[in-house]
Amino acid sequence: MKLGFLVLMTPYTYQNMDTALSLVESALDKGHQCQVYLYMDGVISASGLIKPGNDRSIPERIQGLIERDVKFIPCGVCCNYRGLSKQNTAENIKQSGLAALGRMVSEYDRVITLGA
Amino acid sequence: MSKKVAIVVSKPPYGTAFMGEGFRAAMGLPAVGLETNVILEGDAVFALIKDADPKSSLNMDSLADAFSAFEDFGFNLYVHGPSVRARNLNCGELIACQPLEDYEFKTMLRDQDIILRF
Repeated sequence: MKLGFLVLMTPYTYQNMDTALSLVESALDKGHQCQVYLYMDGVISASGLIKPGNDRSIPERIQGLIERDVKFIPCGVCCNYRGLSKQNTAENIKQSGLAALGRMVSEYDRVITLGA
Repeated sequence: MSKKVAIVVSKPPYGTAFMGEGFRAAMGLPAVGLETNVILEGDAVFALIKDADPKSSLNMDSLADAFSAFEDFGFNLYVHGPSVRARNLNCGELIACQPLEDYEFKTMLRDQDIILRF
C-alpha cells in the first residue's frame, strides 16, 4: 500500500513529525511505500540548519528514511513564508509546489494528516 | 474516475493560518483532476460571513472574498448546518451556503477517498 503523510506542524514544539516518522518507519518495515509532504510550519523539518544538541535528532531520522527511498517534499510557498531558502534546505530534500501534494493525494492509497 | 478528496476545516478564519492554507490546498487540488469538496465546520463557518472586514481591522485579506470564487477554482463548498445555527448565523449572512446536516456530513466523509484536515 502507498501511504502519504501530510505534516502541518513544526518539529520539537509538537510531536506530529515524530509521530509521522515512527509511522513511516513501521510502514516501511511492513513493506509499504511512503511519502511525506510538509505543509505550513511542517516545512521547518526540512531545514538543514536544525541543531538539536543532545536531544533526539529529527533530521537524522529523516535522512535515514530518505536512504530508504522515502520522499520528503516541503511546500515551496510555505518555505518562502518562513525564510527557508533552497540553499538552507536539508540535503536530498527538494522544495515543491502544491501539485506535488495533489499527486500524492491522487496516487496514494491513504493520506494521513498530522497536526490539525 | 477521479478521486474524491474532502478538505475539512474546523479552525476559525483569522487566528491561525489553517483556514488560509486549507483554502490554498483547495485551489491546487482540482488542478490535478481531483474532485475537491471543502467543508467548513465549527468556527470555520465564520470565514463566509458577508460583511466581515479583516483588512481594516487585522490587515488580513478577506477569506470570504477568496471563497466567493470557489466555483472558478473548481471545488465544491459546503458548510456544516448545525455549526452555522449554533453560532446564531443563517445562510443569508454567508457569501455561499450549501449546508450539510450531520447525516449528510457523515455520508459525505464516508464517500471520499481522502480526507485532509485543517
